[in-house]
Amino acid sequence: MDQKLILVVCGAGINTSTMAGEFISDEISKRKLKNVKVKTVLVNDLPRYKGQKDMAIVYMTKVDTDMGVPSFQGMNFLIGTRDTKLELFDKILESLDVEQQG
Amino acid sequence: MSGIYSTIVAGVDWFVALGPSVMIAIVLTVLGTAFGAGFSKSLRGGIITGVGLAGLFLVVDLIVAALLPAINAMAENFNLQLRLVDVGWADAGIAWGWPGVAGVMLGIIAVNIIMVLLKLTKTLWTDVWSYWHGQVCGAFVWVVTGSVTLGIIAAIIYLVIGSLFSDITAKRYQEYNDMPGIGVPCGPTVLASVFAIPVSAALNKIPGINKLNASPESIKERFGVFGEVSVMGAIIGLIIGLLAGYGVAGALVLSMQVAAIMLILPRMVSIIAEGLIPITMKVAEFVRERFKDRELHVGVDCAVLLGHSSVMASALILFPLSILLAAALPGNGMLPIASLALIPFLAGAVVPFTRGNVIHTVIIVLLLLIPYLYAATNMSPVHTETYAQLGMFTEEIEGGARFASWDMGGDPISWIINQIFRLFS
Repeated sequence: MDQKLILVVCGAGINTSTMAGEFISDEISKRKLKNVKVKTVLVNDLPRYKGQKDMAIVYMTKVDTDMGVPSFQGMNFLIGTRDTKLELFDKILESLDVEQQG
Repeated sequence: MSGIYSTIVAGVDWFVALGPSVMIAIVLTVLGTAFGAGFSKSLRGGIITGVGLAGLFLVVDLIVAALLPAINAMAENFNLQLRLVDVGWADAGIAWGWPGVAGVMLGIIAVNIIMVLLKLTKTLWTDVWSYWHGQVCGAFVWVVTGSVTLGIIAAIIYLVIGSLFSDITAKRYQEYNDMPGIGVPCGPTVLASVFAIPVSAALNKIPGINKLNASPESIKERFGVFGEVSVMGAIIGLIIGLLAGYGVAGALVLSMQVAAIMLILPRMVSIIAEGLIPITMKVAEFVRERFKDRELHVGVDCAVLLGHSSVMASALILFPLSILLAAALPGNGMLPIASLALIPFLAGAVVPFTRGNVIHTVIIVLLLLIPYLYAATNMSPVHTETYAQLGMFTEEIEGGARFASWDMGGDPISWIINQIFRLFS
């Protein structure tokens, strides 16, 4: 099984990305998804991840760099209802070809 | 009646005497559980925020120990008035440690829901972390009036102003940063934006200045390394050390200490914020479910505005210029060091209104920093007294340290509210 990565990108790393990251990691452990990891990074650190495969990016701030992987605007993890948050999360999993049981 | 009252007062005194770390841990555990975040998550959050505060105070001890003698020596050598110790975001310690903290949290949620129902605002105040600006405004009012109730009212007024300003600015944030549905009611952010609207329009009318611009990419490429707070801190520490007459060895030691301050202080703030997540999630979901069908701006924190490349480019130019501004401004007593961390946030608030024009952003933020510096200087006695009343840094204060900061000591809205509430004392 390949390891998949969800990268949450934030402007300051103080608040926003941590909130989105927390929701995602809660869902990952709830659904027992063993091969998906979530990581929060600062927008300035993003170039370091360029070229990495099996990765999806969740933007919590406007980002100019094109990373060549599936990208999602993650604001719904902060401002959405529970349903819209789950919908976005499912879309991210789909883009990573993550198999879900049940 | 008076018996009950004095019992309450004694209870509040006992509570405050526990110190901010213990107090906020208890407050967050109780509030989080009440909001339905679950006891264990709330307890964990409360303890983490308490830990963040404890860490914050350690950093302030370092700030005072390292910087107070250095800036005093520098002020002697060059006959400067810059003797106030810049504690930067240590004010978050006031915010989450003063006796009105729970009252403000419950109060602004209630007032915001009423205002949304009455269609007085379109902004949902869901970003619990950013309540902290209002909390500090309230704590300053508490210190000058002696009344926790007046402090809570002042804090709520500050936060309501934030939501009203957010109504003005939200559309542009959404459009420029490509984030439909958001608003940023955070006080310093919206004030900078509201300030930027007319000033930017004026700059666009001045021949010569209206054509000025600079490429954010080339600035970032050339000077990007100075945007790392630790590198910037090291340089500032080195210069202050040399100006203070410490010699090369002493200046190098100070250089590393300031680098440590610049890097560690925001990390501590981030730990405080992490502990608030369980409550923030519940508050956001609670109000979101209730206002599903209305087009509203959901309050998120100001970091969402930092991504645009013009923001860091403007900040890089602003760091040295704002220090020079502070040194040149007559009557100013504060040399910004730890407070420089606010600059990217101010630039982030201005950039959507200058449409990314770096030079215009720099001009606007510099103009805005003038009232910040004067307010910070003017508020310094109240600011210092607030720490003293909360039992923080008492030894340093007895030793002659006087505190200042931009956010929140120099916040212009907070300063105005404070002047008005002084009339009631």
